[in-house]
Amino acid sequence: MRIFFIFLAFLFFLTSCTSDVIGVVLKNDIYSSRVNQIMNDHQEVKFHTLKKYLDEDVSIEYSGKLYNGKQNLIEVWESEFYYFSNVFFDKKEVLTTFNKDRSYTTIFKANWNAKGNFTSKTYTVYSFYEFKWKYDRINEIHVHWNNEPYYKEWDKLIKIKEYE
Amino acid sequence: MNRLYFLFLFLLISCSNPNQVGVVKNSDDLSLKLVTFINEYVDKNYKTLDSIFSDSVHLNLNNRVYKGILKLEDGLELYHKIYSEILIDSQFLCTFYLDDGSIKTFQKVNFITKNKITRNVGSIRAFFEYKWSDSNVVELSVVFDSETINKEVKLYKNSLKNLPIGN
Repeated sequence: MRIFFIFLAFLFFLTSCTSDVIGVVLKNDIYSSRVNQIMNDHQEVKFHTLKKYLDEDVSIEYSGKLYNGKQNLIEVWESEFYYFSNVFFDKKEVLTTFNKDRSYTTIFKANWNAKGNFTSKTYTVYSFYEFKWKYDRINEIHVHWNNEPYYKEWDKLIKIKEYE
Repeated sequence: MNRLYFLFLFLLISCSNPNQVGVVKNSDDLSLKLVTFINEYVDKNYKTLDSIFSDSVHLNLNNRVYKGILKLEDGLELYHKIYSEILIDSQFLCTFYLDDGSIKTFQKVNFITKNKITRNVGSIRAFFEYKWSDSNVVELSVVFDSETINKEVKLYKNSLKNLPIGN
């Protein structure tokens, strides 16, 4: 009888925890609140929380371009404010997944809004950020968005420089 | 009997998390439908479109808004007019089943493209968000860097203008 129960317990574990589920979705967890803080700080041109949680070997994939290392990432992050001001996010959604390999991934989805510093145009871009955590630090960031606002600001900047 | 209660309780505790609001899957029916859709799309096959997308699907393409499955089909066909070849380099997707009943799929696809006019080979890294209702996609948001595609659409339109009358 005891062997039967042990076998039953083993079978239950196998079937209950190994389905097609590859992770669970968490809300109000510590990782989501950290990313929320990072993105709120971003609107106020503050990078303290970001610097605090970045791994030294972090990599960022920014619309297909890859940057490695904490310092590079911070420079990329900060460079946004050379081209844009009044940056703010709306329609925000944050959630974290606890994955089958015991890693955590935080997803931040929002509309990025800003005013171009050179064209004075206002932009709204649907953006999707993926933060991958390793040992309590952000190890990878993947950003999906349309670079169009940058191209428009660069074009204007080049024209201004030509006249100078 | 007590052992069975104990077992049941143990299972509940072992598989639950107080902050858990849903689960993520990648080999469920909805995820597989979208894998089929994207694989068929690169082969210019739109057979599964009706069975996946709602007739009145809302489309958000780089913050440009469209409505209806016909608009979606037009948009999908446009890329095959611009590119002679569209291949999938890599793709990743997962579907979120949230406790509030909402279901959404996130899909990342890296396409390799060959321009019909310039013969240039390039890549498009696109992100798709699908919102489901009654097993149909009711909302699709797509984001990708539009710089390359805008240039290629221009080339394509110019090539149409240069066609001799009667072609």
